[in-house]
Amino acid sequence: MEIRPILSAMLRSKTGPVLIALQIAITLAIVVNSAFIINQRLEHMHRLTGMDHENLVFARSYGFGPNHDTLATIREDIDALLAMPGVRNAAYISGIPLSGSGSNSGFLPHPPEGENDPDSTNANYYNGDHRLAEALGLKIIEGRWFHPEEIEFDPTDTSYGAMPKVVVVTRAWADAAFGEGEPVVDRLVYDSIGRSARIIGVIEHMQGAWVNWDELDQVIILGNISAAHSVITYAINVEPGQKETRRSRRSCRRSTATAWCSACARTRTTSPAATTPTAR
Amino acid sequence: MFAYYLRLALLSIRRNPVLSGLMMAAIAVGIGAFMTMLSVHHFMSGNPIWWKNDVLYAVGVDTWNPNETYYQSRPELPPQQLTYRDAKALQASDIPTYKAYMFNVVGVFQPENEEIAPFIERGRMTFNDFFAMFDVPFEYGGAWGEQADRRDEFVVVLSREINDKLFGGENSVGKRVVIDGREFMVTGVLKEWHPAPKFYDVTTGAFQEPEAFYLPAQLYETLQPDRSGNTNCWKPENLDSFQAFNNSECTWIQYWVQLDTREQQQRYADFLHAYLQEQASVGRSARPDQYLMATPEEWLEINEVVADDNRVLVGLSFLFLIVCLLNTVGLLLAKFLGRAGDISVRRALGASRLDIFRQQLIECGFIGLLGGIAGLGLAGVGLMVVRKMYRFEGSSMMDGEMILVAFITAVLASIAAGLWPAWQICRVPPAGYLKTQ
Repeated sequence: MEIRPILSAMLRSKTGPVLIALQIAITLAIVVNSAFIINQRLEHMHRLTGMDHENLVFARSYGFGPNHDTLATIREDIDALLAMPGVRNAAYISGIPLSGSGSNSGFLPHPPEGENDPDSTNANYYNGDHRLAEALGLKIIEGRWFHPEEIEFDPTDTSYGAMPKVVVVTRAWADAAFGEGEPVVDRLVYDSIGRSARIIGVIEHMQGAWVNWDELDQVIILGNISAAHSVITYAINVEPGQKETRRSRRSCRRSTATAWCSACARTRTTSPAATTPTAR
Repeated sequence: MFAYYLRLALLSIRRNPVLSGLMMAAIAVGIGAFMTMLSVHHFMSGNPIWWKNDVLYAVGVDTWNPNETYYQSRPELPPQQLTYRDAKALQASDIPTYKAYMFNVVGVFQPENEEIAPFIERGRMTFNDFFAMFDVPFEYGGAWGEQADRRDEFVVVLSREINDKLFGGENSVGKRVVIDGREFMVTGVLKEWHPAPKFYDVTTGAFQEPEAFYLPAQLYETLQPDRSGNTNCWKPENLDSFQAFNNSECTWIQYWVQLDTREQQQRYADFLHAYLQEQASVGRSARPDQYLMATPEEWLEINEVVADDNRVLVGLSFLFLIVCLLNTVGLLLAKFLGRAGDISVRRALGASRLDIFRQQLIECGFIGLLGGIAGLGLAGVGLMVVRKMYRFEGSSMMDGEMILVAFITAVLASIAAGLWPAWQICRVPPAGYLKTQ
């Protein structure tokens, strides 16, 4: 191929080639920048959540009125959910992971010394019941999950993140608090005012509430039902392909005790006793 | 002369429909993309209470952790929100014209109409002053009386949307609604009100819809409602009861005041300083110099309501507009040079170079205007997609100002694109072309 005639033609009339070169250069700049931005998002989206998020639906129930019985409501609601066709499992959880709303607090591998113990290690925490590991599809790599009789409920304790007897932690939190690869099953974890709970199991991986937080995978599941909120969240694991049909069914049932809406995620309850790093 | 040039421009467009159409399309696509991004930016960086920007102040006092400031990157700032103790103490000051602390709660409505199932809504607990301070427009009735800020009265102000849902949009003032099993009397119904950004509370999303109902904050301790919103605590302390939480160092309340005169502003600053000094002297963690009085504009800036991403997108879409313009330059060159003969005749008949130049530019501006109209249409579609994706509801993003900007950008851009081709065509020596004809 002859390059010379092409070159000499370009030199004779410069406007056209310059225009095209400029266009290509700027287009390239746009494409590269966009690709970078898209890539960043894709990286976030492709991170492992540790959960069976493909088949997870969350529903919320809000108890009100003087005779509201939290425990009975949870039992009835979960029975009703389990009886629905296509539902594989349903469990109580205090919030929706990755929703941008949740609770976070420092926990320690030993009793706290003073107000600012440097060993305090942040964790997204959720209250959960004995079915939660299966409903979320969590993988337990050490120890075990909660037994039904271990799940506590004290209706008078409205503290946020009241310490139960037993907790399960993610490997990421255990690594950060106790050291890389340290065995933590049967060891104690302390909250900032010195109340302790026993670690009975370790989750391989799970993500907490805030997508852009770098301590997203430091999670603790507390083995109790919180009395701090009237909102109860259910994690519902459905058979593959069922998620969209379930989500579109925004049915609300009317009863004296509960207003029950499927996928009523409109209320945005960020629990207290939490330092939300997203705000910084 | 201008009208004549316009007629010439129309004629030329008709003679060259494909080239002219391509030019318009290029400008339309460029303007469409750029205006979409610029409108989103404009919408996000708006100040929905600009007419009171010099008298409204978001208030902050620093009773945060003694060992660590609230914002690591901006240590001079107090926390974003207030503790319950501080909010109550500040509310006792009589310096401001209006003053109100406020926070989010959730409540379940049980409609009388059995057909409507109970539903959950977000509400705001605040003071009578809230409505006057923010010029909140009422459709029916008004705010609750001042006495409801001092002793328990079960009164409520409803948003227009919730009044439509519960009462079919009728005047419901004096009627009763049941929230969380308790009866409240409606004192007022708002007109449609969608301040965007929601400047008075950006803690759970600056573009969230306003709450569905408003209750006197006075009822907080009686109702003990479920709070919704953002709570930040630093102090290890037992929060196992409602009382303990209220006495804690947790911050979760927004605070706004209206200070009309310089003298008021100065006195209020002194008051905040003195308050923090007093708190420090009784042994509480407090930084007396770290108080904040931020105008709505400053407040939105501090809270970084406009995301960096958004600025990047405006830049990228501007570059895209330039690519479209470069395309237009190419097309114009082809079109004008194709008309060298025509131009030569005009020159021979006495038109000066300047006349020719002017005529070409007017044609460009005209094409730009047509492209701009099409671009606005595209921007409208783009904004619809953005609204769907980000769930910005309510207020429209494209206002008169943006439409004007779109037209000016389109016309200026296409004239700029025409400069070089028009210059080229003026310089064509007419003699050569005339001879060949």
